[in-house]
Amino acid sequence: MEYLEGMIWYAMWPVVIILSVKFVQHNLQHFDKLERLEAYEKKYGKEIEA
Amino acid sequence: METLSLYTLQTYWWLLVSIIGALFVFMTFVQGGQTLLYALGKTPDERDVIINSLGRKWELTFTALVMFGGALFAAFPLFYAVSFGGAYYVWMAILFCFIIQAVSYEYRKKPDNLFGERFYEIMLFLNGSLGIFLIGAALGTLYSGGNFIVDAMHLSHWTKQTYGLEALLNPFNVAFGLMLVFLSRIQGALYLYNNIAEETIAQRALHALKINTLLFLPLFLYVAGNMLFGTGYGYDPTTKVVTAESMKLLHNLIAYPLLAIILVTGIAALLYGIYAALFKQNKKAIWYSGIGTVLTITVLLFNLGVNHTVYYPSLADLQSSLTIENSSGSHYTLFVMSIVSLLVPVVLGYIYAVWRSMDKTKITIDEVKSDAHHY
Repeated sequence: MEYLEGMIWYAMWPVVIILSVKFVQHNLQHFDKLERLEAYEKKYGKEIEA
Repeated sequence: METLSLYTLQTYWWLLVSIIGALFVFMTFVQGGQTLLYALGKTPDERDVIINSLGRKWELTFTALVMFGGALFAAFPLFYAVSFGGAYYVWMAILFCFIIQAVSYEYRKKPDNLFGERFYEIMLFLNGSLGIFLIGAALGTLYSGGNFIVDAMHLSHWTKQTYGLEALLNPFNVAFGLMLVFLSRIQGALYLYNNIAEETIAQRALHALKINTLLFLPLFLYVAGNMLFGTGYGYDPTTKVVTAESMKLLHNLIAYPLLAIILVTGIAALLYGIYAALFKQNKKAIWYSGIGTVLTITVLLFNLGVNHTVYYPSLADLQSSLTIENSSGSHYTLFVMSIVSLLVPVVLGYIYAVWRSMDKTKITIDEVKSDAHHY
């Protein structure tokens, strides 16, 4: 039982890493989507305004 | 989670410090690349492309160094006080070697540059050679020891008037420093081989890789041999009395076989990276050698904090030696910082994303010429 708390702490890390990767991926996808929207607006925005 | 014991937290923080130190050593490919500037770049255009390739990454190396110092300061403040206050001349010399790097990247191409490009290129060489050599010598003292005394009130003083420069008289520290210089040049050559789409530079990088590997290997064998088979220092878990022990670090590896396996894997990956570049012309070789470097250095540093080992022996008074147990912050500090450290993978994730985005296309002379804001 001496090392139990340490083992739990280190066992948490793979979960933390997976969650972090998911978070960063999600954020980057959102960024890509916004960039595509900006390009779309640049291309067709003026036509819609007119 | 508040039940995490102080010893668990101390070990965890020593592991984090070891990983950050290892990441820094990997990132010194920037410094290594700087020292290869004139060996790989024979024309001003070629030197520009090398500087720009390295210039995209230099802040990451600097950040890793600051994080290494910052983590040591936060988790093991007594070490920070003893070493940075005592071995003052060495740390100040290192600091100046890194100040000139930042200035050189920013001012080398500025209009009306008073000193000329060559001046800043010499500064970059000094940063890559002297800076890394001194950091290596300072890291070597974690194994060979420093001349300090710590009293019961945790006040420390250095016992030599040379304030750290005496470390350069120890052949082990000198070899450690030179080993890091040649390792950084190996990584620098592999990085530029991967990152620049100019065949002449790539061929010269392979030549530099061969020479620097031949210089690195004997130094590495000497340093690793001395570490594992030389005298180490341990302490009694109950009485905390420090004693010298022959082959202490080797005994630690035997006691924790996982560390030994990671160490051997790391060394093998480092050597495979060099082999893959030299004999298979594999442009991705830096990733093998990089992962190998990170694993190797992590284990070599972490080894000093496990199995009741001293990580900073005192040559002046053995009982003043620092261990993870007698030099750490309080339980509260370490616990709060441990919770914050759970965000580290998010930061690393963004660094990875930025890195990939920067390296999506390989850098060329034409690209550098067409960019008015290049380094």
